[in-house]
Amino acid sequence: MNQITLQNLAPGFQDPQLDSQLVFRTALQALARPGQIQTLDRLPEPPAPLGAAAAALALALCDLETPVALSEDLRGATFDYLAFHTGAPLAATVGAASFVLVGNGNHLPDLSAIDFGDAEDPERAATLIIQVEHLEAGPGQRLRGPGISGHIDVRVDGIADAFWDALKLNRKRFPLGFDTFLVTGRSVLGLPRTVILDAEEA
Amino acid sequence: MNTGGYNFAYLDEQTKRMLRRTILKAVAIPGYQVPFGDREMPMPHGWGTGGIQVTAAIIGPDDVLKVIDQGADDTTNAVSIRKFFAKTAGVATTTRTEDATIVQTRHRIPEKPLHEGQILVYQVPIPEPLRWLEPRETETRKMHALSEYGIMHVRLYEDIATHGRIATSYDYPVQVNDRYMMRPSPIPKFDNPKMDMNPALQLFGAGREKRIYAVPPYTKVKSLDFDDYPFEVQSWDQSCALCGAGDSFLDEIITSDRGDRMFVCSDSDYCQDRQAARSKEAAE
Ligand SMILES: [Zn+2]
Repeated sequence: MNQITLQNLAPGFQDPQLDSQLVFRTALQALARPGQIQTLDRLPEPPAPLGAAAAALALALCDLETPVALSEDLRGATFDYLAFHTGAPLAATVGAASFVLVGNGNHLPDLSAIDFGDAEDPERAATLIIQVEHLEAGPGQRLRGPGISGHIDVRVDGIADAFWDALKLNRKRFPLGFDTFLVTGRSVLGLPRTVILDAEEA
Repeated sequence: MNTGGYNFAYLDEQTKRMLRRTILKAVAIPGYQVPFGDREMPMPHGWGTGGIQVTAAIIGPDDVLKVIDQGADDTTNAVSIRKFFAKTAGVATTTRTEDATIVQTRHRIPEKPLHEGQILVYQVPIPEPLRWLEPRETETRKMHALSEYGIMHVRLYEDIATHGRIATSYDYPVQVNDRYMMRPSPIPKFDNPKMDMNPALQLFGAGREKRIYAVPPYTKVKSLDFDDYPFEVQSWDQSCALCGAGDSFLDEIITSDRGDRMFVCSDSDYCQDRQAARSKEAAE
């Protein structure tokens, strides 16, 4: 039995209108400035293993119109939490999801199965929200592209190498392709489909 | 916060969320017009709703809003929009470009350089750059999908054949990040170079046609041209009659019923700052 009981539900935003707006602006800044780590000010208190940053993005952006796919570890309590606070339905497959939430970046779903959009509707592509262990400015991945003046370096711990391979393929599909938020603690890193990994140019 | 019994920034939460998702996709696909849902959006008429919808979706209580109409902060339209957001979102407003976090504009880009973290919101009447060449939406969507922009080059070349130069001086088409052709809204082509590699985020809202598009900061924006007919901006023989600026976009105004004319900055904030600096210098 998996019934949602109000008493057991972890709280969402304290002030849904204002917190959603602030979280959205942080997400907007993160996507507009790829590689620049942004800090979320307003955090909900989701049930583990869903972290506060991933929950904040989901609460600010998801609703009845956005099917959500969840990695194995996030099914159960996380789905109940998101369903209650956002009304978002569970996607039948990862390919049918508008948002794909991944609890642990070391265990990625099949990134070739998600929706990349199509040539006339590239905006339909999914947004990934992936929890990682650590984000830090500095040597690691070198990024270029729109939103970046020159280049920017960022270190990401706790994400499978397959993610960076998928990101290189993603760039080749442009204007199709997924957009990504990497999150940990209060931090958000935006990686829109325009991001170029510097290694590609070498 | 007291916002006079309105929803914060007027729109309901579901509508704002839908617009916010649209804006994020627009930033991820620079220059591409993202369509948004058919939901009814009751907005005061006669303002051009596209820019207001974008501003309503992004604005928060800590923002400082500047609104310009043809470069001026004091037109009826600009004043109304500032009051609207002061009332429904409780935000502070300003006329100073450098103090604003959000600048909503109709038909100009401010003369003072924008800085990182600022957002410029354009009000867009017609979003599709190819529309006057191809009326069918199904066809223009295909052209964007295939990056087939030959008809626009033919059109500009016909301009040259007829006028000896590209005659388009407003809403001059650009290509964003070497991919999508984009309509910059009816700004003078004088402003086009400001879009290129701008540190601010640029968002474009078309209300009637329900499209949002974006140019992220530090993104290449190229005005279309030809090797033998390079892109050129407007220039004037005069300087501003009020502040002496020789580098700003000038409007010609009639100063008497005898038809006397003078040229003054279209950007009133820029002009006033320069006038203040001049009178300070004169006093010293
Ligand atoms: Zn002047």
